[in-house]
Amino acid sequence: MADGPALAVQAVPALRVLEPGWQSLVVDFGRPGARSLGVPVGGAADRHALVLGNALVGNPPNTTALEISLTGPHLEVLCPLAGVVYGASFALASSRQTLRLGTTFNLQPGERIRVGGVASGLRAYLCVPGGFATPLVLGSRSALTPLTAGDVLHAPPSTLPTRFIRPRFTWDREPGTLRCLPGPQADWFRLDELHQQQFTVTPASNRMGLRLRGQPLTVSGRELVSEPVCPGSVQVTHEGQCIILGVDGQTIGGYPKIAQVITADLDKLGQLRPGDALRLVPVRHDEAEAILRQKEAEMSTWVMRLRVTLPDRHMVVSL
Amino acid sequence: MTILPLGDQAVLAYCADEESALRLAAAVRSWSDPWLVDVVSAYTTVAVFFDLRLSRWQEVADRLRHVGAGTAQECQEPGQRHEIPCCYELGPDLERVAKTTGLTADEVIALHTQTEYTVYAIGFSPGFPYLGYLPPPLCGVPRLPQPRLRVEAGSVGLTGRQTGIYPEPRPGGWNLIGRTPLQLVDVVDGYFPLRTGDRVRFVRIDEAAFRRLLGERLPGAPRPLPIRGCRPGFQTGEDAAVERD
Repeated sequence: MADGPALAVQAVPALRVLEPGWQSLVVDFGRPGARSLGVPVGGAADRHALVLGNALVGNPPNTTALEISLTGPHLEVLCPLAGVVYGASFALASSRQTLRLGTTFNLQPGERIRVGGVASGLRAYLCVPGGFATPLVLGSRSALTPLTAGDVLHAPPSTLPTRFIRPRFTWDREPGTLRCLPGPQADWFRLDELHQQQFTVTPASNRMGLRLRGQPLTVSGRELVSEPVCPGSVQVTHEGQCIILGVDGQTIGGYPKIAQVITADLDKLGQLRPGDALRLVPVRHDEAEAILRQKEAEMSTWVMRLRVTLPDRHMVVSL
Repeated sequence: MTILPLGDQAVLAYCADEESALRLAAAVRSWSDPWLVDVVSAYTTVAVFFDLRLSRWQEVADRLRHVGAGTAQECQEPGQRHEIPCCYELGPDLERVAKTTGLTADEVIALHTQTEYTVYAIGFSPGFPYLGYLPPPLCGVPRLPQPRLRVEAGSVGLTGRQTGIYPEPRPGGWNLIGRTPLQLVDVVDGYFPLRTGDRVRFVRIDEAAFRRLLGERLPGAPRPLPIRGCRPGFQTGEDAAVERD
């Protein structure tokens, strides 16, 4: 068994869930090494938002945070707790103060916070110093089920100086454009039919996958024996409609794969919501690699900047 | 062997047959290269997931091509053998299968227990083994017209050329011909006794034995998990430095 991400030290009851929201899930980077057991990768659907949220509160990138989707939870604070909500622009409210997305805050016991709805995008991450203490399962602390009312999240008590970032990145300028490589069965299809149309995300979409609606692709009628798939695989159903697998997607599948979304654009998948329009645009393999390197370089610049500006000793309050 | 990309961080190898794929997967799993994230085999294909920060698609593909040629000789037969008790009296679709195949229920049971199956893939749900292949007289039974909303844990099903076991309760459309009392997965506990390449035989038991064995595990020591370090996308060298603190 691999060592998991660091367990939060001195975790105490920190947040009580009054209302869980649509789908609030404790996540880290998931279980990318457990696929041969039939276990999906899981973890954060928008890893870049998780990494930056964690960096804001002084955490390593793979620290557990609460992933909030579409409608956020209502939470009661149980201990002095610093945190940040980073990602899509959710409405934030507190019984004691004004909270801003992307700006760290300090919460007091008895305070109640509500993460409301979101006008565009789908997910954000509530990150706290040290992360939420959840059991290590198959190398990851990502929870297997979403929060329900009455759950208590454990974390170390903490305070933080106010910090915020408003970064700009080159990779996410077009959130509705997913760059793709040809899939293993690309030659079963006409790629122009895929790349020259606009698709819509349907309501039958979740962390397992995005079901798209578009002009049906011409299908060959050939049958595929199930083979490995992964997040970003663009599968085509017998009706010629596309399903893009998400982080909780299955590990093997029998639908032919016309395309594969490049790794650098997988985070965009986590922010697309029903009704959103999207295009699947072809890139070359060397471009896909270069785009990922560029994204990681930009990210690491921000992570380093945040790291050097936060004195570690201020993070965790000892009781 | 044909090698194709499954995106920018996975190489998909198409092997000549199921056994070559199992041998290739076993060979790659034995590598200790830091770029290796996961190896998934299903029937005749093997996917090798790698970390793009530590290697490149072309390098991994070349390495696979090189090893692919030699695996047949180098690698011993992978996998373990298991005997899985199955109570056929608890299979609600046994009669349907008998009717479709033109056999009696006893003949279906005899054929199902006489065959040694190979785990050709694990998927659909955590730990679900796809076992192949059924003897020809049992092949070709279509899925149920309406999938069940809940199939009980331990249910043994078949469809097409495959048989399989639902390790956890799930919706499912396979024809259920029996049920094993054994626990065959515990995700939280890391219990995954069946792996691709293992050989499985079903052993007929009665309902008294089913009740007696309910919830037990397969004999033998727990198997080490194939999980490597948690190093998914998005950790730069600088991030790693943060982690060391």
